[in-house]
Amino acid sequence: MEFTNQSIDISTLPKFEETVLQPLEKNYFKVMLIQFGIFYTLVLIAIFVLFFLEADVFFKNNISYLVLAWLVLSIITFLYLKISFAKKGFALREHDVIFKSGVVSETTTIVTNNRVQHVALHQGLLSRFFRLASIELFTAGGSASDLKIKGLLLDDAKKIKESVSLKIIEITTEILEQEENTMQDEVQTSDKANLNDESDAN
Amino acid sequence: MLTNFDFSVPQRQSLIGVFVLFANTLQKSVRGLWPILVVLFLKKDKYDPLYIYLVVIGIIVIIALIAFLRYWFFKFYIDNKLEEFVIENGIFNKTKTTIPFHKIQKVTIDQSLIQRIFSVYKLELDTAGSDKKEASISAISQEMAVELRKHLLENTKSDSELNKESLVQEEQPKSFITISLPSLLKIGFTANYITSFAYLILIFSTISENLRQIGRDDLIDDNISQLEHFPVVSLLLGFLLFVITAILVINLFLTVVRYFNFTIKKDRKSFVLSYGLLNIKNTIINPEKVQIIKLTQNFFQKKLNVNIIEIFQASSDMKRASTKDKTKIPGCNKIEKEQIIKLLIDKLPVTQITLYPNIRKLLIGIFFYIIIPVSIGLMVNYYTNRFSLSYVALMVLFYVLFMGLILFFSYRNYRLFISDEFIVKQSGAWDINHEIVMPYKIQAVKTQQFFWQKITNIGSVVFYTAGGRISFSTANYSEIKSQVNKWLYQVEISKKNWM
Repeated sequence: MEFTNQSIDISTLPKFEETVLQPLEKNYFKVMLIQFGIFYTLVLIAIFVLFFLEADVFFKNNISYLVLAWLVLSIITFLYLKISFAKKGFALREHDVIFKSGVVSETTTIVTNNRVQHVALHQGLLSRFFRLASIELFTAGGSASDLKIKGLLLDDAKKIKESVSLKIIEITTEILEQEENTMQDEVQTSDKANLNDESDAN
Repeated sequence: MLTNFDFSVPQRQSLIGVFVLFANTLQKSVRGLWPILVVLFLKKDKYDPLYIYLVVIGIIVIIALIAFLRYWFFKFYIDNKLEEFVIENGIFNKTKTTIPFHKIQKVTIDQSLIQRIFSVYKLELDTAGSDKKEASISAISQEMAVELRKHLLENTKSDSELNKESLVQEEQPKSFITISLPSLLKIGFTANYITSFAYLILIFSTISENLRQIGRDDLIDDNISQLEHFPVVSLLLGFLLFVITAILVINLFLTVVRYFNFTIKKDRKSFVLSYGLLNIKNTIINPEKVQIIKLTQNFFQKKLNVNIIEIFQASSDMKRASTKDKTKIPGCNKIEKEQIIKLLIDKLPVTQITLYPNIRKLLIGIFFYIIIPVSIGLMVNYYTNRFSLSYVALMVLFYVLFMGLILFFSYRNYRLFISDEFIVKQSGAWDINHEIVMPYKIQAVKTQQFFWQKITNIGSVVFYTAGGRISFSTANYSEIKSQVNKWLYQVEISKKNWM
């Protein structure tokens, strides 16, 4: 290999912050709404059950406040979900994957393809109905640095997984020739395991 | 290559190892059976002494027999055809553990106190894909251990590498650095105050707990009530003096016991650290696997010319860095420090760009650690009237001064030095840390900004390596982003093996 050691001109490098991010699938917002809707409905039912059972004086006297609090909370949650959904975005570049999220604190996570250890594809019950999937890229940097994108079209998720997996295999053959077989095995088995995973990511 | 052992046929451990196994089994049995032993001892009048002796002798004979059988059935060998290391053990339930050569990450040779008495060694294999030490041989002679390690590690390398290095191998590994006792004493005096303080509390709580269990807690109460006759100031001073001396003594003791005769030897590409007074530890460090190097030095240590170096290696677990492999080198001087760094990363880091924290970092610190706690304290005191005004003023002054100094110094020391090949983070108020990372070791990067920081163009960055994460916060966000772009570029074009 020819060795070069030129200084890097930072200003000419591609800028991750200027990458156009792709929003999540609109249907994913519906999935989130349904999930939170179910949760809030259950809470409301619980409040009413306790009220009609007259199990506790507290519920009997303060039912109007409780319902009001429930209403305010659900509106706040709805708004929060809407903003956070709008704030989320991802981009696939040639060499890395970018994911941006956060309402109060905006976080951008970048994982380069050649550092991905393995890829997992999850699909929950609701997501399956909307043909959505989530993808998770694992690195050796620990769980905090894993990149998880929820709310992708199943076909897109599969494409990402394939391209990243391909990259993993490519690197494996390049550098870790002796470990090629085991790595491929791991990737494949984890794919199978994750595709069979029925549980929703939430 | 000349070798005294043929590992292709099944080998047993050293015969003298039976004693080690016996001691180990005895230790385990005593640990498991001690309630019964205590009961036997307390109620010895009830039983015939002969009967007790018979039981004890019987138990010892059984343990000895088990130890011998464990020794007899424990065999290990190298399967050259399948390229595997095989361990067979078990008296009734036979277990056969096979470890393919390419999975072996690390071979360590250790010696515990018992093993030292019988001058045998313990050899452990660390493999990829598991946190546990998967295979260990607990009693083999030193020559055999070294020979076996050589065999195992040789086979994990490819042939070309082996040929290149076969010349070097014949030489005995040279001793490279030995940390002298004075250096260790210096470290004992100047580091780990908090750990020793924790030990002190532990010792006291164990003593009081034990006294309570045997119903003698009146001993403590008596002593404490006697102390009440002394004036408060001298009591406090005496207490402080006692704590400080105790901490120093514990510190010295722990440092010397743990790191006695610390030597670093270069062995081919990797190097071997061995240290310990009672238990001798042997650790191998492979420079390729080093992810973060952390240098620590405080004011005293600077004056005494000692450094502490911590090395964070990639975890043996290929998929996950769940447990971090951390190795500490205590008390090396400046020249030795530079030698070690050069060994690990070829050269000393230089600085091309320095990132400074924004002054808001200091202000936020003052707000959270001084203004909020002080106002809460004052408010509580206003309602409860527990302390007099002058007393409160004194406490606040003391706290503000102490906290202010810590905040100021940690702000002043907070820096990120960047060059094309290195990232060095400097931090700390008293102990000043330098964490060195090479950009191509980065696994993932996160940049983060609160929405109110957008106007002032401030943000943070965290980068993750297989040996831990490093973050730098409240700095110029555009600068951070351009550096991140550079690091991403470096990671993406890098063909170097990061572990």
